[in-house]
Amino acid sequence: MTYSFSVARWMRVALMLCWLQLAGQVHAESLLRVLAWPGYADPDVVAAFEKKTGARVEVTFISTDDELWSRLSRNNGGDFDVFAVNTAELQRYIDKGLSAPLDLADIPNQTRQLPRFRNITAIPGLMRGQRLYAIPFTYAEMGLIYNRKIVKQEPTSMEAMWDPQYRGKVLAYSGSVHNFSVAAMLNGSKNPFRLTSDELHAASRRLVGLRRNVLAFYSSPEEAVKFYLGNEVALVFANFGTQQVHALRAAGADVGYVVPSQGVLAWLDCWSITGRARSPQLAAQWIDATLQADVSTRFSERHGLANTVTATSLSNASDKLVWLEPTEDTDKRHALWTRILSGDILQKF
Amino acid sequence: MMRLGVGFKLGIWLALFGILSTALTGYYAYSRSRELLIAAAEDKLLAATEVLGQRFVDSLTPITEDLAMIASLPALRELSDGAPGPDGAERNRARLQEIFASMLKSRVDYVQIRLIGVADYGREVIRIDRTSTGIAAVNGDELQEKGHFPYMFEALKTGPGDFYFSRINLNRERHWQTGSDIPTLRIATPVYSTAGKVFGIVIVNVDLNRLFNRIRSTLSRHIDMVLTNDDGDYLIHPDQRKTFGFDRGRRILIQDDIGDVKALLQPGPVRHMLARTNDGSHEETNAGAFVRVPFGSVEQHEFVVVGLQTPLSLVLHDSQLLGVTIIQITLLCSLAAACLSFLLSFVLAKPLNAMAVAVKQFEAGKVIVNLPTERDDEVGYLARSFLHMSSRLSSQVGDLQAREQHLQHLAHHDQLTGLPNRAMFQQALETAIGKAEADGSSFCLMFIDLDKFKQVNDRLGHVVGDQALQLSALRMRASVRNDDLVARLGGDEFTILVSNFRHESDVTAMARKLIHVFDQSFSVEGHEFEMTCSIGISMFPHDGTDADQLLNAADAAMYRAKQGMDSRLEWFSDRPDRAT
Repeated sequence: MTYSFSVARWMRVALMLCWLQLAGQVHAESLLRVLAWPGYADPDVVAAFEKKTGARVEVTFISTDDELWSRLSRNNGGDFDVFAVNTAELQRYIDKGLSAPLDLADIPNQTRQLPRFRNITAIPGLMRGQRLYAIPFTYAEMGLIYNRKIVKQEPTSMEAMWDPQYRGKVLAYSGSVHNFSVAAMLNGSKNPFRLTSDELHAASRRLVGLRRNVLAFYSSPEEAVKFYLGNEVALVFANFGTQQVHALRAAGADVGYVVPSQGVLAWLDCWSITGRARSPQLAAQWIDATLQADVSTRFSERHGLANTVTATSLSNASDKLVWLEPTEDTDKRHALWTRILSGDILQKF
Repeated sequence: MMRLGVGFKLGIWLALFGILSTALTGYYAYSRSRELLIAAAEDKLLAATEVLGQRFVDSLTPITEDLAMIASLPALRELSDGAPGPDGAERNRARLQEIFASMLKSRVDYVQIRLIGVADYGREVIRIDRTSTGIAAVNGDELQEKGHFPYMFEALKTGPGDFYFSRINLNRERHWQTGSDIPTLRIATPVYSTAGKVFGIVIVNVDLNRLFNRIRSTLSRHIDMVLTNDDGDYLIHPDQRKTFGFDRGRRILIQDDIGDVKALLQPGPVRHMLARTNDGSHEETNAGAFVRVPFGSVEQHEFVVVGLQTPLSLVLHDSQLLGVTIIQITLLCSLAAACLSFLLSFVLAKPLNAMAVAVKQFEAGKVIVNLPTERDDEVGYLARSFLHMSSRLSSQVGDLQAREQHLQHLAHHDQLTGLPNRAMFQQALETAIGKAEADGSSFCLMFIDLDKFKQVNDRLGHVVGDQALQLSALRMRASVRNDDLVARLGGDEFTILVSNFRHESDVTAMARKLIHVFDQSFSVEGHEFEMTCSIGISMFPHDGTDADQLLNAADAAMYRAKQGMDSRLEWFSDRPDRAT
């Protein structure tokens, strides 16, 4: 009697556990957890997606690459389904299995992207072997902003920042990695992200020259605007892309923007699905939704960032964009840059 | 029971009321004092914050004075003028280095003093650092180019004798010998040659941690200090990870922790404020005071927000002491109130108890004593009223009793003679029969009839007749013993119940004495007349065992006596010892 009762009870508990698990799965399928940068998942976009799919979307915003890494690597990526990451950063996520390969068939809107982005094999970092790990969503090229009142002729090269006629009137960015790449490109290095020790040395000396020609190095778009308004500035290296053009124009500056023909660095933010996504299908649907022409256009209008579906007034299909890649040795570049920024004289390099 | 009841209940209620009111007063006093204590502590905190802010501003003045002193040094003047001689520059450099070093030694907040020239892209000319081991001069190739730093190009924009105050940030310049993560304020002044040509700047790096540690030294160690710039970025915070977020790519702002502080950061009239905070680094709530402290030149509009925070529990420590004191006082007062209540209830209940006793006495018909009639209050009035009422009641009851007695008398006595009437006699006869049956004794009944009464009444009138009857009654009463009952049955018929005789002859003697007394003539209202009597005697149990038999027997004997010629006395039954 007692025995049969306990068996019945255990069976009931087991059944209940099964049911709970099923219920949990049903629940999980209807929830999409997005980890992205501010502006990448605006409430109206989220609402429209929820209405269309019947799923619930939970968005978490991050503000630095480090934060993105710490949030996603926690729990082995199990806390999110889809995330936004730039191509250079993407590599370590692929290495750790935090990013999963995706199937283009799930993202039909990909075929409507601008040719530059449709051609996924031409963008370094998206593929690993034969597998595609991310779909481009937005990008910013690091062009040159110029003060129309001072610079009468549109600059044709990044070299303009070294031009003695603009001495003390140039604003450059205080980040280490990109500066070496820019200097290396001007030096004619073959791959600005994989510099030899000699190339690094040459780039350092060139950056000392840049330091001697600038007014200051800024670290945020707001700081750049402050420097611009408080001083006579001719050129601004647009580390944050066309956003900075909008910010300066909003502050009343009469500025032009140019992407020199020898090419500029550009970061490319992509959507990627996590390795432990509960529903890769739903995640793919999200990516597809953000690539709708109206969603992407609205994104550009609202946030001043270029999108990958429609061209903006500041972008040209012919612009030569050099997508950021992981560099040969970030720490070394950083150490060198600290010395340059601190003011070590040229003889020390 | 009654005594305890009223006093006890009153005492309980009064005590409860007393305790409750004391407790309420205590609680109110506690909460109000607590608020006042907190307010006072917050005021104190705000005052301390204001003082700290003022000290910060004041502590900048000696720095600018040092800079002005350096700018006016002859050695610096000679150096900027480029004179005299080839080794003049070296000599002046050495002299300035010495002065910078000794100044760095004496000013603990300074971490670096430099002379930076505009030449060579803003190359440092003299640089003295405070290192972990002491004071060190930097020379030769180690001197760096600083032209691209705002402190250089902004300071050069200021005029002679003016000062530039940098934004406060972490010094990230290499060759920083005291370690990184030091909140640094740079103050600079331009240096001009005699010809008025700009030579460079003199600049001092101030370690704000040291500066604030020095000027806050009088504050309790339980008080935490925060410092933010005009954007709200933390520069100093007990949790160092929160400071200089902007230098690490992630801003951590005070207004995100304490929303109210936003008002201080915006231009406006608010320049100090109080806030309760819970920043998560402490488990408990803090009381905080924040003050906007403008510093530097007026044109730069630089300001910092200085804040002091202290755990609310510390502020409330005093109030806890106060609470304990108030609880003690409340308990004592409650006890006193309880005692007082019982005392009061006893005092109040005493006259009430006296009244209760008086009512009982009244009920028992006793004399009412100890009523508190002398009191000049409601109780006294009540007592007097009660006394008055009880005396009235007593007199009325007395009247009633007298009247009842009178009615009783009337019912049992003959009005004319005052002798017991037939009804009473009948009762007495029944009683006597009962008694005699019980103890086996015997008694006699005399039936007396007045001879010639009718004639007297008819001849001399009722008034005289009535008086004759009254006199007859008096004579009869005078002729018998006190124990014997004389009654008037009606008209001229009387009876006498004779008990307690030794021998029947005694009864006969008594009857003869009576006859003899009636042989005396009567004198009423001037009328002289004779009125004799005839007597019949019956005896229990011999002549009858109930009242009627005895009465009839006596009546019959009297009748015989009236008929008889010689004797006016007859026993119902003749026996030798009853000689008549």
